[in-house]
Amino acid sequence: MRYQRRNSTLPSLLADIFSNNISQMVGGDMTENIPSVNVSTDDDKYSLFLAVPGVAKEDIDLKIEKDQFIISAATSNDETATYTKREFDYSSFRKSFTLPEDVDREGITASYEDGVLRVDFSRIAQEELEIVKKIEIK
Amino acid sequence: MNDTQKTAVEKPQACTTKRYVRPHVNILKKEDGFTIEMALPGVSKEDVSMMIKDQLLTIESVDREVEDSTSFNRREFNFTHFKRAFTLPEDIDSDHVEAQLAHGVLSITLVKRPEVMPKKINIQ
Repeated sequence: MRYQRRNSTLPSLLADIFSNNISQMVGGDMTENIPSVNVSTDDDKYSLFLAVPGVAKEDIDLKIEKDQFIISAATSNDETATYTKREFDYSSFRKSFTLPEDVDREGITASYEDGVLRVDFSRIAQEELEIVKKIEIK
Repeated sequence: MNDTQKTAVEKPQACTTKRYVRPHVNILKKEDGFTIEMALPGVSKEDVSMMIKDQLLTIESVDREVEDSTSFNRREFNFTHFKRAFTLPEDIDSDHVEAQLAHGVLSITLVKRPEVMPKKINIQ
């Protein structure tokens, strides 16, 4: 939530409203719980980066279902903690990606560092893909 | 109206030419103070600068040249430049602030000054 406050021009009541989180005004829940993603493409691989701050790698589950690559986490929250502000909580999420045709399913590797999960997908060379396709036609 | 007022009040950022990301935070209330958790995925502790001046706590990225040749087809996060500041309540002891970075979360523990904490008195 971006906001700008001009103390000198706004009456104090208005200034007070603007200084508060909008979620507290509308009573809604503005907690971000879907991890952000970066994807890069190289000649030989695709790299997927998932921002999961606060999630331990042991709690992350990776699997392939048909052409979907699924990343999920399901951890229990510390119920005793009292939050006065909660802008992020990635303890439970599920995110799926459609695997491109040229991904080698035997060549998927994952690593975790500083709250970022990185998954590398090896790509099958275009020529090899064409060979496979040719065989299928016969 | 707002419980946050008792813990930390965010300082509105002035408009600058540089684009800073405003990281998400959780604020946890504790008996002796509170903890700020800031989401900084992919950030190492060498890249974080923390400062307190006149009860204003500023957390920002260390300014440095970034050599990033990776071209992203999809980019939803980038914490190369970030900044967020909080005005701490007067009763917080700014001399005893502890912080640690783990799993992409910066946890800042803020405790109340000892003189404002309730003191148990034993009856002789």
